[in-house]
Amino acid sequence: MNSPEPSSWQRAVLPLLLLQELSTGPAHGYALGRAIAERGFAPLKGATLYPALARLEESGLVSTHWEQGEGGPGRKVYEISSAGRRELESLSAAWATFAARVG
Amino acid sequence: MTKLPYPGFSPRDNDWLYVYDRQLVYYGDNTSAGSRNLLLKETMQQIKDSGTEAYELFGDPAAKAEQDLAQRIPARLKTRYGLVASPAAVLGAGATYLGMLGLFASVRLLIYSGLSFDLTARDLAVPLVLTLGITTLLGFYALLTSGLPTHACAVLGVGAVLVSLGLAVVNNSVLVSGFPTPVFFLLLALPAVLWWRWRAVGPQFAPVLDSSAWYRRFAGVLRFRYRVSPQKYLAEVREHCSLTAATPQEEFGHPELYAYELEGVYPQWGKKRRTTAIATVTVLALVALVGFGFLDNEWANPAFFALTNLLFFGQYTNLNRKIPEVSAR
Repeated sequence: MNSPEPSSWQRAVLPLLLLQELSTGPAHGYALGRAIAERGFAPLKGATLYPALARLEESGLVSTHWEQGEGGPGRKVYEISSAGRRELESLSAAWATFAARVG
Repeated sequence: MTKLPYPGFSPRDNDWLYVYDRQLVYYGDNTSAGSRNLLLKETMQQIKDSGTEAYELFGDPAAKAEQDLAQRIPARLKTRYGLVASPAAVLGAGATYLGMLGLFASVRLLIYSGLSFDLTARDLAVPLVLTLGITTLLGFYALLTSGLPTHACAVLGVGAVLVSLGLAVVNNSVLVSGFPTPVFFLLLALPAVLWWRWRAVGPQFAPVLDSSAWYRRFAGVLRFRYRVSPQKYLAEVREHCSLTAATPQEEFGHPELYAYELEGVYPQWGKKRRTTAIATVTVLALVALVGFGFLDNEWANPAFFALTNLLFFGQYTNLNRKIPEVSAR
């Protein structure tokens, strides 16, 4: 399903969406992108998804580890950290206020 | 009747073009005005050629502006990274250097020789050797940091041959036959050189790379520009592409921009102590050379060539420092 919103909106809330998905359990990048698309957002290109994940990792909001692939390349798995959970709560509250203000 | 801002287009297309134009400025804060104008001109031409309305042809003007800017990668990088990012910019810098040398030589000749002088092959060869040396160094570095080590080595090889030929001319004083040349000829050459420089650094467009070229370029940019192990990101890109059955170019865009998105700000030339020291030494060497030349009527000062070698050595050690590996646990 194509999202009717401008793509810049989706990029702006991408950290929130990623933290929401990760709060349900660890996942690798492709699965996160697919889960977000299944919620009705526009499909995410790798060029948008992975830099956002890299920034979350750099900020300490997610941690990563590698899983060995079956004959293929290794798979990087992302997991929300306790700082990430706090950030998710804070962002969710801020988003609710913002959405109410927009109306 | 109010004059439309985009003559030759319908009022509806004018509205669309106005929004597109404004969005280019809004999103394209890192692009030059020249590259934005080029995009606008291209889009206007496409609308004219299609014979349909702009909205029907392209849809949302804001989305198209964003998409177009994202695809004009080298132009964006050129603005952000300055001199070392683009081989064309490097060539332009070489040409500017030649122009500056010409200007300096003109002033010197005006003082010592009057309005005309005897120009010899040796007189021409020395500034040419200097320019070739500098351009080769910059070109080598620019290509290397663009993830193209093979091209960089080729440039270095060609540069070495040209510099050797130039030095042979200087040392043997062959083909020396003086002829009077109006000194203002050199002054007139300067604007031409500067014009060529600005022409050379105009907007460029991202080429479409096949998958293997994309991976090579990405790995090269990570290794030589950002000094990180390609393994840090390559496995994830490969996995994503295998799962989506898409090419890396389709999913991740141009490798230089993707590397920038991942690693952030380019490590600017001169930020590190060692590169600052090397750059300072080089500039001092050039100043000393020009100064000696001015005072002693001697352009081919050996000190310059010795210090150029020092620069080569410094760059070599700088580029070959150990790259930290990120292992797949």
